[in-house]
Amino acid sequence: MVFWLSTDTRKYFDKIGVKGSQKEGKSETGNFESYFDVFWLCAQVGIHREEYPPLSPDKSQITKRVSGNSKEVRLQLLGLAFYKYCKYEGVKDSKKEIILGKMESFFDKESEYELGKEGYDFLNRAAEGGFLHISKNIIDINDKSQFLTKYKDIFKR
Amino acid sequence: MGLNIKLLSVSLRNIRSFGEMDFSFPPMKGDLHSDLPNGMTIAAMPNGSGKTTVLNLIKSAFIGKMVKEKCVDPPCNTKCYCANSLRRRMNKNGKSFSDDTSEFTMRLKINNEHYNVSMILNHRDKEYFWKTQSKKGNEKRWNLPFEFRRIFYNNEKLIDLFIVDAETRTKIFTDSDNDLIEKSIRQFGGLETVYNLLGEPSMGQWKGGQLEEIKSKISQTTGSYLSDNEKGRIHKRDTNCIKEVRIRISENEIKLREWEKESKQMGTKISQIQSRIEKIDDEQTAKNKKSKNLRDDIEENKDLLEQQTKKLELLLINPINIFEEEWREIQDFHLKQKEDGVPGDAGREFVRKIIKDKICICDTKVTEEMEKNLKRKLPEYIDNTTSRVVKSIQDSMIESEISQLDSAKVLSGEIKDLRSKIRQDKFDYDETFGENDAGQERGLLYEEKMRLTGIKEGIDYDITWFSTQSFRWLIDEGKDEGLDSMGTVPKTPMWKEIQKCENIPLLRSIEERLEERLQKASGESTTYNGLKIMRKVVGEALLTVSEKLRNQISIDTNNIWKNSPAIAKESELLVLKIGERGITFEDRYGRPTAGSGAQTMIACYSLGAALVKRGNLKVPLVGDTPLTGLDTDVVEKWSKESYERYEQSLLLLNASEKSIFIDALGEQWLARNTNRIVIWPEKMASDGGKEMVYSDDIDLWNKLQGNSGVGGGV
Repeated sequence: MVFWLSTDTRKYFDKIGVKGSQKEGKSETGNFESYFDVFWLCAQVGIHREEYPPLSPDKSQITKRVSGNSKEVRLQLLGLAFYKYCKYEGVKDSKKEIILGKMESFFDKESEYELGKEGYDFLNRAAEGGFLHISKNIIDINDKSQFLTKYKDIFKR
Repeated sequence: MGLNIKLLSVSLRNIRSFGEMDFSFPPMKGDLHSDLPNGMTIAAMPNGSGKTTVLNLIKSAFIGKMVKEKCVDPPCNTKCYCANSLRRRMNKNGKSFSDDTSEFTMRLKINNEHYNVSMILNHRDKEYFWKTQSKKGNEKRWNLPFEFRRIFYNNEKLIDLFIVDAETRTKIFTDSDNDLIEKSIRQFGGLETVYNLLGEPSMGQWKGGQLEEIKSKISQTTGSYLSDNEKGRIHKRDTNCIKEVRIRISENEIKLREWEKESKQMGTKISQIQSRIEKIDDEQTAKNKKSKNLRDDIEENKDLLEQQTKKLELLLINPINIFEEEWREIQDFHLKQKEDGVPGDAGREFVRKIIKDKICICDTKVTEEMEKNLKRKLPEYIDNTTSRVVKSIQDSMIESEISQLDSAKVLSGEIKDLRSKIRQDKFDYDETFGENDAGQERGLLYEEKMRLTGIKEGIDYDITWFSTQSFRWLIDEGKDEGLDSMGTVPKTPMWKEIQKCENIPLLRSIEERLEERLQKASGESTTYNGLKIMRKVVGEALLTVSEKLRNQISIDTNNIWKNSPAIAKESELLVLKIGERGITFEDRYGRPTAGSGAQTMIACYSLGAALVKRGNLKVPLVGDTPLTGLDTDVVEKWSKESYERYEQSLLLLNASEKSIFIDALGEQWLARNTNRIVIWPEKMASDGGKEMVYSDDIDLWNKLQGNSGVGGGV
């Protein structure tokens, strides 16, 4: 299992600029550090809005592990994801045996840096859901700073 | 009426470093009274031997006034006209080394007449006086012939063109004013034309009763005052010709006036365009400065914006900030799991319970083999990667920082401001430079200026040609009128005068104005009044002559200047202008600029040569270190040109210039074309000063080297 990014998502953020991308972005205020950072920005929106649609068939894999600037907040990221996963599964208040079961399917048994099938699937769907919202609400943006200021507004209280 | 001046000798007694010195050039040794010959004489004189002193004395004798020198006799000790400025050194005791008097004498030949001019210096009274010796006898004053006086008397700036101190030559430019040019042009060209017709206007000669004679001379020249009888004696064809010519001249004058008006209008337009171009340039400079500030600002803000964006990204990528409100709940969830022993012993208890109950969660009975396997896998439940990462998550929840989403808001605001500022700066920048109409306008203006300048130059050329060359036209017109129908130009007096005359319109003007004034003066019987009127008329006419001739001399000077060595490529860039502000350099766009040392030198030579040409003047060229400012590669050209242009020249060289001269011209050329003399300090004077000695010994000449004088055991 792996993190996926839909082709549309990739195109959207390539236009702004991602380090390591083969396409040159138009942003004048810097590029995103990695595709995972982009993935996570989308996933946060999906989690926030609790929208987890199925993955687009037109997609490509990016990484197995949390990378880029997100690495700094890997544990918080996983903590949030696991909590939201339990909530989504309706077990967040269940007994520990149930939680343990979810834990084992969410996280990987072999590597503490990778996820289990459920974990990847949950986050991939969250990212997809987030991107659908972003692509509808943050349009015609080619600059990173502009994107981020509008991105922040999605979470306005 | 030309002026032919030849320098015969220069003698000094008790002046500065000179005891007894005779600057003649003896063709035979011992004959101290021989004349300096024609051609080029080179005097090799080491530094400090008195080159400038000799030059200034020659100059003084030309202008009838002592050239300023630094006075060596306290308490003057400054530049003054005091006789002691030329006194020989004092001895160590502060007493006069020499006699109470010194003397400088210059022998000249002016238009084949011999003159001795002496300056006698009285050191006791710090005074000096002149003596002039000529065929008229001895006079205790400076009194050279009128033709000489009217050109050179008290005209230090003019003589600087011929008696040259190259080291200070640029003062001709820096001090130049209209007077020099005006005076010189009148003396060299204008007066000659009019004097030929009116005779010399010296009060000594213009005596009462000569008015009729002058009037008659003008009449003979122009035909205006001819009586019927006189007219009858003139060939009819000539009269008709003159009449016709006058009509044509009038037409030409009208045409000239139109051209002059047109030229003036062009000049005004050109100067307006130039002003506009300069204004655009000024504005452009200001814009450039503003644009630099804007660009710097934009770059600085862009850097800042990128930094702030990066900070914002890091804040937004942190889920604590995004899920600020829920975070407490998320923390509680994980901490509760921790308390519940997730993952901890939960796995172990789960397995133990299955082993203990012998019943699996799927309600099947646990076999021994299954139990054995469960026991073997027990540690994995307790310590696998999954439990490690969950433990890490639980620990990190305890340490979770306080949300910084407020910082993100502030940052976001700053980013918006920065973007807005950059956008404004870019807008201002585009506003300033977006559509560079000014640059386009400047290009069009420049083209227009060049076009008008071309037209104006054409008009000015026509004006010059018609103003100065009309006599040629006159002759051609005369021929067309049948004056040479017999194959020869008629030789009547009138026709001769017309041929001699360089500016018929001017003469006609003089004639008409004179007639007018004389008519007004009729009834007043005093000749004196008539004479005064005559002088005024002539004076006014001369102003017109000066203006016309200034133009021609300016052209001559520029032609010589442009064909001179050392100028070469620079002449394409610079124009030597003789205008109302004196002599100036201008660049190709008519803007005043500065010339180099060599350009200044050659410009002076060019002006001198143009005046000499116009005035039919033969004057010696005397140069003190004349190569100063010239590049070594033009020394040969300059020297040969000077050699050809001046019948007589005396060049005072120091030792290093002598070497340059030899290198440039070669020993053979020098031996063939020049006379060589040497002034060197034969011995030290008893007062410690130098005692300069003259010689034409070629061995001594050859031995002068370095700065110290004659070396090699002389």
